[in-house]
Amino acid sequence: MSSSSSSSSSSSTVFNSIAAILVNQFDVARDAIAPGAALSELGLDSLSLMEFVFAVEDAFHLRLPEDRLDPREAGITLGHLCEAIEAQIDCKLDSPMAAQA
Amino acid sequence: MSGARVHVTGIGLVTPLGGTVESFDDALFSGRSAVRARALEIAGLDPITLAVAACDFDAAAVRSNSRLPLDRGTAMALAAARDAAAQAGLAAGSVDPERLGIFWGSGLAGAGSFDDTTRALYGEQRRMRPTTVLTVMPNAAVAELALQFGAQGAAIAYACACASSAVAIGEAMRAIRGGWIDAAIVGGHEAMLTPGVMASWHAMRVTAPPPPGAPASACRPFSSDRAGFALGEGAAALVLESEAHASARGAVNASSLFLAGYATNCDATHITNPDSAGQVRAMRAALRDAGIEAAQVGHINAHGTATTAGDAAEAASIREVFGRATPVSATKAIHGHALGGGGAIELVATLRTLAQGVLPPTANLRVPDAAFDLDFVRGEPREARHLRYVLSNSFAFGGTNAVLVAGRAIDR
Repeated sequence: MSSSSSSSSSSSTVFNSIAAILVNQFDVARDAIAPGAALSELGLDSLSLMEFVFAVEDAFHLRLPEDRLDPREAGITLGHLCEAIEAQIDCKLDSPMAAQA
Repeated sequence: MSGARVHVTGIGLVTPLGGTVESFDDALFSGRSAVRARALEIAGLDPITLAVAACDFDAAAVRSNSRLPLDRGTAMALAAARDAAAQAGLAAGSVDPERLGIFWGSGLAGAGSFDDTTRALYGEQRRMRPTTVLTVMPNAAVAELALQFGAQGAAIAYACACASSAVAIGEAMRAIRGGWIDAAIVGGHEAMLTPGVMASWHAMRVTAPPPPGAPASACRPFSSDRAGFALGEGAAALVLESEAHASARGAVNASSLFLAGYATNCDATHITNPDSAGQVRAMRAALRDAGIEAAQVGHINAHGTATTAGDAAEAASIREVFGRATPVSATKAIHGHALGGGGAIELVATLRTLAQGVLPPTANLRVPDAAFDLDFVRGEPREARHLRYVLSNSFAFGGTNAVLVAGRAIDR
C-alpha cells in the first residue's frame, strides 16, 4: 500500500509524531528530520534505531515486522517508515478483526 | 606505597539531603533528617509503611552519551560525577585518557529498571525493550561514566552490598598509589526504592517502622531504642588524583583534602551477623595503611545502621581499637541507608567534617545504649578545629568490611 492511499493530513500527523519522538527521546536535530532522510543517517547507532522503532511501535500501538522494514537497511527513509505505519493503520481500520486485535 | 596521599579534588552529590555541598552541610551539621514515611501497597501483600529517605531528583532530565534510556541510579551517578569533574576542573585534555579510571560501587545496580521489566513482563504482558539488558547490567553506570569522561584506564563495577562504594574508592586509591593510573572518578549509587526491593527489605525485618507523626526519627543509631534503618537512595562521586598529578594541575592547596588509608577484609563468619574481630582487623589495617596511630583520628563516621546486632558489633570494635577517646557519629539517621552508595555518601560527610572542622551530631540519639562505652556526638554539632584525620566504616552483608581514612593537609 502506498502513501497516496492515505490523506495528506494523516501523513503529516504520522510524520510529525515520529519527528517528535526523534527530537524528544533521541536528541535528533529537527532540521535533520525530513521524509527523504535515511534512518541510517540520523546519527543513531543500530541499538538506538531499534529503540526508536520500538518507541514508534508503542506510540502507534502496532508492530513493524523486521522482514518488512529493517531500520538498519541503508535505503530506508523516514518516508518509508511513515508508509509502513500508515499501511498498518489502514489494515487495522479495514479489518473486521480490528476490534479484537 | 603505604602512606601516600591520594587527593580529593572534586565532589558531586545526589542525596536525600540535596544535590549541593551547601545543602548537604546544612542538614549534616544540624542533624536534619530527610527520612519520611512511605506507604507500599502491592496486590497480594499486606499494606506496609516504610521509613525511606528519597532524593528530589528527576532522572528523565539526565541525558547520556550512549543515548540509552537510563536507570534512575545510572542517572544519579552521571549527575554526581559531572558535578565532581566540574568542581575538579577535569576538562578534556587535562588527563591522559589511558591514565584515568572509573571505580564505582552499587549493591543493587539496575534495581529500578529490573523492577520495571518484571512488572512489564509478568504484570502487564508487555515485551522487553531492546535496551533492557543495558539498563539492568550492574556495570551500566560505570559504562556511562567511562563514555562521559573518555576514561580508558579502567572501568570497574564493585558489588559487595553495603561496602560497595567504599571498596570502589579504596581500590581506586590503590590503583593510583600503585602507579597504574593517575586519576579516577569514583563513588557509588543506589536507587532501589522500588516496590519489589522495599518489600524485600521489609521482609528481612531490618528496617525501622516510621514512628507515627515523627517519621524523621525512625532511624536511631546506637540508641537504646534503635529499631533498624531507613532505606535511602542517592549517589556520591569524587575525583581522586595522585599527589604528582594534582600538583602539576595546580589542584593542591594548603587545605587540600586527601585519602590517607584504606583496608578491606571479610569476616567470613556469617552471611549477615557482623563479627567485631573482623571489623577490628579492618580498622587497624586502615590505620597502618595511613601510617597513623589511632590517637591521631579525630572522628569516626560509623557504619551505624541502627540494627540491634550491627550497632553492638561496631560499638565493641570501635571501643577495642580507639578506646573511648575518639568521638563517633552515625549519619544514616538523616540520609538513610544508601547501601552500595552509602560508603561514598558517608565519605563525603567525612570530608565535609574535615573541611568545616565540625563534627556532625548523630540525629535521633537521645539515650545511647548503656552497653556502648563510646563518646557519641549527639544533640549539637561539636567544634573540632584541629581535626586532621577522620575514619569512615562500611560493613556489608556477606561479611565485607571496608574502612577509609581521610585527612586534611594542615591545621587551620
